[in-house]
Amino acid sequence: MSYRQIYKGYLRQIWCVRIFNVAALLFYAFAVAFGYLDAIANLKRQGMIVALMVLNGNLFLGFAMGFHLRCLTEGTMASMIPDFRKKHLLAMLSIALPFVLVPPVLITLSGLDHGGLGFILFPPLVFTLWCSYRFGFALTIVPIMSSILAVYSIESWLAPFSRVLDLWVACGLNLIAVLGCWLFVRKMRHEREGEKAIVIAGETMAKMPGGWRWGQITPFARMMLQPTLDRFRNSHARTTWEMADRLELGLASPAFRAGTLPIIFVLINLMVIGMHYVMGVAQKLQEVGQMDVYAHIAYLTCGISASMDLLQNRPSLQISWLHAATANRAQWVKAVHLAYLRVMVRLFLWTNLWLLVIHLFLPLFTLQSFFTSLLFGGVFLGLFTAIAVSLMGRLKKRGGIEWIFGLFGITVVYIVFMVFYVYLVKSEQSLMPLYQIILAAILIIILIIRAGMRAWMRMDLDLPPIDPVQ
Amino acid sequence: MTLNTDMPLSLRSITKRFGDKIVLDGLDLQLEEGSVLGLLGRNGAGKSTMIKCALGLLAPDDGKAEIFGVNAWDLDGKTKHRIGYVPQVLSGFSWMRVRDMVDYTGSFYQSWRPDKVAALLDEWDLDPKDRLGQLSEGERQRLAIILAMGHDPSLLVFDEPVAGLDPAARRRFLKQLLELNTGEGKTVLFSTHITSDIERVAAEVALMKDGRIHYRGDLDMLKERVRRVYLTADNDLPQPLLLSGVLHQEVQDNRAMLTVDGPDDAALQAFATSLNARLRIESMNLEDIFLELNR
Repeated sequence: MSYRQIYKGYLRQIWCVRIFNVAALLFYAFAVAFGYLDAIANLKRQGMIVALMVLNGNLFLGFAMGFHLRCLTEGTMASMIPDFRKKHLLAMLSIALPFVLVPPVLITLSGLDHGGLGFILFPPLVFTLWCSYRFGFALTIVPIMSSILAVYSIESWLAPFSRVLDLWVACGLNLIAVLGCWLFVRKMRHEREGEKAIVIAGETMAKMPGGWRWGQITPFARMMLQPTLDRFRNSHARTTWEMADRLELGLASPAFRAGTLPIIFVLINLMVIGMHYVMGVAQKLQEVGQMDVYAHIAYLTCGISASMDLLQNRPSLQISWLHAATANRAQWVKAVHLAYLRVMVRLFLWTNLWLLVIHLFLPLFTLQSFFTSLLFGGVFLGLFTAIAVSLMGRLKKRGGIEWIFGLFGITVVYIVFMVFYVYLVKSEQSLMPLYQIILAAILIIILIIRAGMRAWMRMDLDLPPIDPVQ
Repeated sequence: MTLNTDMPLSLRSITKRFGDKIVLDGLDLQLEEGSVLGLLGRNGAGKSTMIKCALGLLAPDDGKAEIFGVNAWDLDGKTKHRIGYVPQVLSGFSWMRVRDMVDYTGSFYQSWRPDKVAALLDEWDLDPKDRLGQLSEGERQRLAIILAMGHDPSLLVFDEPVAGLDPAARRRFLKQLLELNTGEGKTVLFSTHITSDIERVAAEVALMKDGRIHYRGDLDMLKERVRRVYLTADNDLPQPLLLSGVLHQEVQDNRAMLTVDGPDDAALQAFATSLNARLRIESMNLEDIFLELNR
């Protein structure tokens, strides 16, 4: 089967994948162009632009690959349609390999220190998208942390060496990612295994702080678990014993092992970081001053994950509407607004919470990096929120409210962070104690708001408990 | 020319457990080429599990499942080309249009028949421009059926295909099924709760109960075997009435109603005579038989 056949056959139908591929290619081309410009004009700051360009390329590539990954782990379809996985795997590899191998070479050869940076992020980014799509927003913390730590550790590790090593590590990691995907797909061979992975994720979420359990889960938790529950319903888990069986999961299941791949990333990176702390390399790293890029990346991944999560949670909104529709119109309108609001608040809170945690635990970030990341990240987040929400609105053919919420999201987020950036960062460059206090205060406020929101949601949107057997 | 003697579907001693619960208990089932078998069973009887084991979507704990002589768990592309499967829920991409989904699925099959699919889409009132996410349950089910038939498979397996269809769509589906069998000699296995559908299209029926095939055979034969018997005597009848093959009996004073499986007219007449009772025998429809056998 030739590459051309694959494209001529089924891939031409998937217009979005083609767009993603083209977008990725464009971003890579920009990155290469910037790289050459930088080499000619010796503009050191363009390294970051290149990295961001490459990152955007990766992002779109991640989307394209995410589609194939999703197809590859489809249960029934993949098991029954001839050569389904083979074709998607070939398509995925045919997209991934040239992109992940060629541009790093070009960029690194163009003489940029940051050349390999974006590409180092490719594997964790793919896993971020994947986790977000498959398991929901909560579990994306693993690959997000992995993204940050991967760059953090690898850059530091490579600092004393030449950029040639950087290149090879980037290529190597990309290859590992592709191989990882392949292994993942091989393991998730059958429908049941796929369901197991979802159940593990659902159970993990259900056991998160707050003592959530089936049958007594809060609306907040329910919203998070809704995709999982929907999948249960769609996967014919109609009886109690069948449900119980699916919850009876051994750690040895192939899907679970495949799911541990991102965790392995984190562990390896933690080890590397620990070693560097011990060796006192951290001090040198601080001088490099590139941490803001990583913060942007964190926010970017958060934004994407959040918007995907929002789309993923559409069923929960529909359920809210359904429940509300049984009551009067006033209640229905209230429920719609509340449903949107809670998704947006949740999205905002989670994203900020994680970023703050990252900042608190990685002391090498500067105050400036924090606020610039908020600025960039806020814009990204707002943008993605708007896109996601408007898409939801379009799908539901209810344009007005969603666009308002989307624009509201962008505007508020942008203005707030602009104010912070201009008045705090520009005026005061060294506020480390204040910085820590602000972070801690924001963290506490977020936690309080979150607890309040949960209580409010429970009070106002009194949904009956979900019957997992239904 | 080699003759393919492999059976379209063969299950031998299939056992499947979910935890402690035994869902399939040493189940045997073979499908001859060109046969149409209707699978009946209550919820939880194991119909879907059996179908999934048969198609290699679930691994049985014990036993052997084969499709056209190939181990179901390791079906190759060539064998998959010969299978059409309609699951209870169509998996697909909600953002895709019907047309895209058809083309997408068709691109995996060499024997895809776009003309046939287009005709079916038209006949079944599916708009190719609609997105999957906007389709109703019935429309999705119709699309799933069309997708399963588009590549002209030799073996068609339907897991409750008509559950989400309205009566008109059901009729069209059943008509299509009949045409497939009579005109093209396809092998069809379909599970359903709706007994009248089986009566309409299947010559053969299999009743599943407790993880086994409780009855497998000709539909007319089943109707001849399982019948309702009314006895009216001059004096009170003994309780219970001792007759081999009784599935259920209700005796009140001098009257009795029995559902019997097996005894022929002569045996029933002899039994009535022994009780000094008058005998009336009634045929039962499949739904009543199904209910009686599942008591």
